[in-house]
Amino acid sequence: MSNKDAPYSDKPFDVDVDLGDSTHKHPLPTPKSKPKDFDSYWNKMLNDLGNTPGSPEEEQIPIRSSDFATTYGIRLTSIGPYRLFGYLSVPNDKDLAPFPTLFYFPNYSSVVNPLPQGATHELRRRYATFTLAARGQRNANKPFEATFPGLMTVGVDHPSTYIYRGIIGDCCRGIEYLHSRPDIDPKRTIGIGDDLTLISSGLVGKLSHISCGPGSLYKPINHPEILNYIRSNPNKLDKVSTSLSYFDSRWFNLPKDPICLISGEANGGAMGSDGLKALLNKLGNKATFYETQKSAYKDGLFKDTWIANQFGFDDPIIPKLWE
Amino acid sequence: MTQTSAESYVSKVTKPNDFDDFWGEVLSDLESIPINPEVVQDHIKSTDDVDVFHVTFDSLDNVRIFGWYCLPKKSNRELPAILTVPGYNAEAGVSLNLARKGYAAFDVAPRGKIGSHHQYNPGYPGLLTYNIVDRNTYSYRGFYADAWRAVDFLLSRNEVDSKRIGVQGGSQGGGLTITTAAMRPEIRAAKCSVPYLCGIIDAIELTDTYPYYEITEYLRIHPDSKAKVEETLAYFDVNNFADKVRCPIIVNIGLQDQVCPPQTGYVVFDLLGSKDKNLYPYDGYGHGGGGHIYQPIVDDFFQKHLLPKKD
Repeated sequence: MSNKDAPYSDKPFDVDVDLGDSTHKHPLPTPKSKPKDFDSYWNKMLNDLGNTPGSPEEEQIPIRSSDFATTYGIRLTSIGPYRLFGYLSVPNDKDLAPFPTLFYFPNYSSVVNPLPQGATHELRRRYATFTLAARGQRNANKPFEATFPGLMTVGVDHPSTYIYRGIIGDCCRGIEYLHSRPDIDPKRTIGIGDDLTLISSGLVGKLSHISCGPGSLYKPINHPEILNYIRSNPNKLDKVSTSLSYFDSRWFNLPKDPICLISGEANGGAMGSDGLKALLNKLGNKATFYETQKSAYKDGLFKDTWIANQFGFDDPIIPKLWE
Repeated sequence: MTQTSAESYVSKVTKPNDFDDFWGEVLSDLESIPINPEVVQDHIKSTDDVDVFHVTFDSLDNVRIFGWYCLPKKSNRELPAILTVPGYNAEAGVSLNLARKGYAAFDVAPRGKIGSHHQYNPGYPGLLTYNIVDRNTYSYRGFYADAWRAVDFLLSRNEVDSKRIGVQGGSQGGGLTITTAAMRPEIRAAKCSVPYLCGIIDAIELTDTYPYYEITEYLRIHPDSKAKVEETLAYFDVNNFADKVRCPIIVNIGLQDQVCPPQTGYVVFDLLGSKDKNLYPYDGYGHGGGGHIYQPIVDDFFQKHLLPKKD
């Protein structure tokens, strides 16, 4: 859920939250290794998720459906227990099932649309699409309603209460839900988003492809909202630092199987060149790096083409205004 | 999309005969409601050099509206102010960097946005088509008014120089920038990026993406309402406000913008009434409108029109 690297990188107006302060002169020190009980912490989360029935409900939404695709509102239970929401669109031509699938992960914003702004609805003719509202986002905001900015510090004083434990669980639940559907092709299911995509896929597997950029969980102690929180609560520095060490994307196992498209600035952006290099080294030859052109058009065209080719199609489906 | 083909586009939007009466009545209703501002410092978001405040005030239909207000700490004179109006999916931000440049910076969250959604919340998707068959209750009647009322908030502040207030925004914020500059003569400079809500009935034919696609979806379910929808939208189309803009204004568009078609950007730019207007079209760019290239132009523009000359 990054505020720094939207799927299309020249999109400053409608996707991200302006935190007002994305750079800091004095970054805080970050731990050099993961907590000793890091793996058991996340195994406990996965156990909790496994013990929480997903109990999906699917309700058709006529106004969001068309002659070539049907859209459903999906309700799912994640850890907590907490009830989530998602939009699932499935092509009507069942002869083409199982369908290649685009799973758009939550971003750092309240709004979750059936398709992200800027994506053509023609995509739904070829692909199943799924957009997930994690806890706190619109349609998944009862009883917890997130604010943006604000979400990043919710419960941050302790690893067991930090909001991202639940949000990562929500993303894992979303992957499992898609995987449970017979009309979804498990060999052609891509997660699109930021480091939440890599982290949750690393925890539960099951995605065949990933397209992502860096996110807020790379050395999260230096996120602007966290720094503001610590500045106002200097006595909590140790607590917050300990909490966030369980959420630092550097410590998660990367997913073993998926083919990845990693996007961002050549210098690594928020990750820095060392962070980017380390990530690409870990992913090995299954990862392709794409340097953003800072253009929604150029970046979008490249990514749409990459996804189409990965899924066996010669041509991407692109917005009318790009034709 | 080439620049020439986008420039030559002809809009289908028409202006209702009673357009001015309709909005005059809205302004009159708005003026009858006391603003009742409340300003509370947010100590977590405040920094060493900027004070950050939660602001709430009353707007049309007595809906309580929220915003973030940032002031530079070291200032002993009246400040120029910049009002930032949000995009469709975006939330109001915290404009620390504008405050650092010497502005009183106010980011308003019109009704339905987080912080202003407890009395009114059509949702997303939803806002664009909420009561779209009735101009008197259509969502944007209040939404536009909330942005205009944000100017009243700035005018109520002692630290703000009422003769140096600007407005800016991108996408929906670009549309709101034009409606606000049009209806509030106190605005002295306006920056509009990739404007939305301009040529709405044109855009739904030109695009196949959200948010305009919400109207396509609505009309698929309610085909008999098409005439009524078009009638309502004519009162809210930014094109019909544009001739009232008199202040200096800059506009940027992306020639491959798949959300707000560049054709509609050219049309609304031509309609702007200001004698001091400049358009910056960026080839090879989408809905970001080449913002990273454009930003220095924006900084210079506001500095020229709002900031005092350096001694």
